[in-house]
Amino acid sequence: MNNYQLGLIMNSCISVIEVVSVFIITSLAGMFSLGQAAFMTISAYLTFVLAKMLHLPIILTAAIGLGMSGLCAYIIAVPTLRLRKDYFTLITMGFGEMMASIVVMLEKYTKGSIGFSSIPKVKSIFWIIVATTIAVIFFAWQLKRSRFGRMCIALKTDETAAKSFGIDVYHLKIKVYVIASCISGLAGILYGLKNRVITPDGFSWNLSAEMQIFLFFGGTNSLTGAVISAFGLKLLPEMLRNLTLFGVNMQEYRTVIYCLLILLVINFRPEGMLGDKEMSPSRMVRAMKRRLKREKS
Amino acid sequence: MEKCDNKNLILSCKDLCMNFGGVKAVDNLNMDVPEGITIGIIGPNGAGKTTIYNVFSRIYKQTSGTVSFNGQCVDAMDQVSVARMGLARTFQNIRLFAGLSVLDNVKVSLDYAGKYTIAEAVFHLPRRRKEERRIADKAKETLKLLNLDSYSDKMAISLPYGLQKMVEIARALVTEPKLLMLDEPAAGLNPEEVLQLVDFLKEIKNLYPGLSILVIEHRMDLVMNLCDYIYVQNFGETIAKGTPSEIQTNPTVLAAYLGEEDNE
Ligand SMILES: Nc1ncnc2c1ncn2[C@@H]1O[C@H](COP(=O)(O)OP(=O)(O)O)[C@@H](O)[C@H]1O
Ligand SMILES: [Mg+2]
Repeated sequence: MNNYQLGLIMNSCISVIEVVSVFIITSLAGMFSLGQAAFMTISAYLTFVLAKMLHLPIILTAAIGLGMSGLCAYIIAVPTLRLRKDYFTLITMGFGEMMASIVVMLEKYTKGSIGFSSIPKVKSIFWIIVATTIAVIFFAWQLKRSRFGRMCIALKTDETAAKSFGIDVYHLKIKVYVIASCISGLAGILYGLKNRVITPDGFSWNLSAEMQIFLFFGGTNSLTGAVISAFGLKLLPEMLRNLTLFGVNMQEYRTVIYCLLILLVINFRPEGMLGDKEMSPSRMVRAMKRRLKREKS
Repeated sequence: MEKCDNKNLILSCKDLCMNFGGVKAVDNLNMDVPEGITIGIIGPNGAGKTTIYNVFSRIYKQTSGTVSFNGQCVDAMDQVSVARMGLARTFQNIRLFAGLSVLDNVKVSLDYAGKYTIAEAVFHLPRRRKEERRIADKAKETLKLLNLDSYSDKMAISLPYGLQKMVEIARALVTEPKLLMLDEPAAGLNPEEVLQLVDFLKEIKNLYPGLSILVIEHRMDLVMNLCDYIYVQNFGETIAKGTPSEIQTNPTVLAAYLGEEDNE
């Protein structure tokens, strides 16, 4: 594979990590965040700016960056998760915009909208990204299948009923939001390592919205659906690079294409492509067997 | 805070009032629920029966009066704490968790007390495996006990209505609560399903002899059949209380409630 193709796979992997974080927030715990890109900003900028300023190893500053993402998520969650659901969405959206302006304000350290590019080159970044992606998917999968996953799905369906089974809805939501925001932060750091430059525009509101779109496309309750759709839909515009429509490169129609896909999904499969089904090898074997049987008879 | 130290009483409330604006949904309720007893609450729609449950389970904070559960005053507690103390309930309309199988719906009841952390969950550490096995075993045991184990892997909300009601009760029972509050369990069931439900509830009384049960119900036959004691509510007030035979012959009840039913 050439570098261009490796780059595409890395982009898709990072997109998968982002969408997994949104999966945990929305599909498991029923919260709707429109500001997950803000945590990519926090983690990425802290990691690379601190590494340069204090001459610290990236692994250390990355820990600081992720910790800060978690802390910010906690600070957002504590007051807003007591309120109605829509307030949480509004606050996360505002937080996203705020982070972008802070980066521009702190131009002295962050280089503002020009972008911060003193990012060291890391060896075998491709494998680091692939391995991290697999690890994140594994974690989310285990989370979904654990008691925490069950409690989340319960509180998502019916908070009052969940409370009457002893589930501490408020604190569970905070925990889940903090963990998911650290995962978003991780995606931000990997994005920086891969592109060797970070800009406030790179982590804009569009990206937060894009994550939600990918998630809904894949299936509102399906981790495998989310992963496949995040990987595929990130790749899609690149596939269309060589096509033009009305004299404009198809890639420019990216948002239009995503919107069309979402409209189609909402109309024909309102629960997303996979709904709440998970794709697993055993399930696929079972489905194949059923089909074979049907064809025989 | 009032001290409540009657040991045999699982739940008791004194002078309980719950107002919504001008509506007195519960008006001066005094109720004692001894251990192992089944108590029926009957009364027409809007009599405030569900509100009583909502106050007991701390969804609402009462306007005045006190509630004690298991010898402890719960006036300052929230829904989660009383649930953890052993107060389980079902809701008037089915509220099973969509997206979870029957087995998982039952497991959820045990989950808050599961002994492993989120970190142990995501790294799939031994303690998680052990606890998950314990939770699954307990849930399966309860489903088997209640003859619902053949539906374990079905999505809960895809089951027929009558079975959903039973799964809801199984979900409430799996933690072995001290008090089970059922809100119109027979509503919406066809006559055959009602008979099954009565058998099911009788079986539960046998299987869990120490369990106290509160049951709100419209159907007199069901209440008379199951309950040791009955409260009759009307416009938030208790208009009569007594054993089923006392209630059946109580002139106030006959006039206010049973008579009304005969006319229908
Ligand atoms: N959350 C609430 N807000 C306002 N009024 C309520 C609320 N809950 C119940 N009520 C009122 O309290 C009264 C009793 O309702 P409810 O307890 O549901 O009766 P029942 O269960 O006996 O049919 C009704 O008049 C109802 O409108
Ligand atoms: Mg009611």
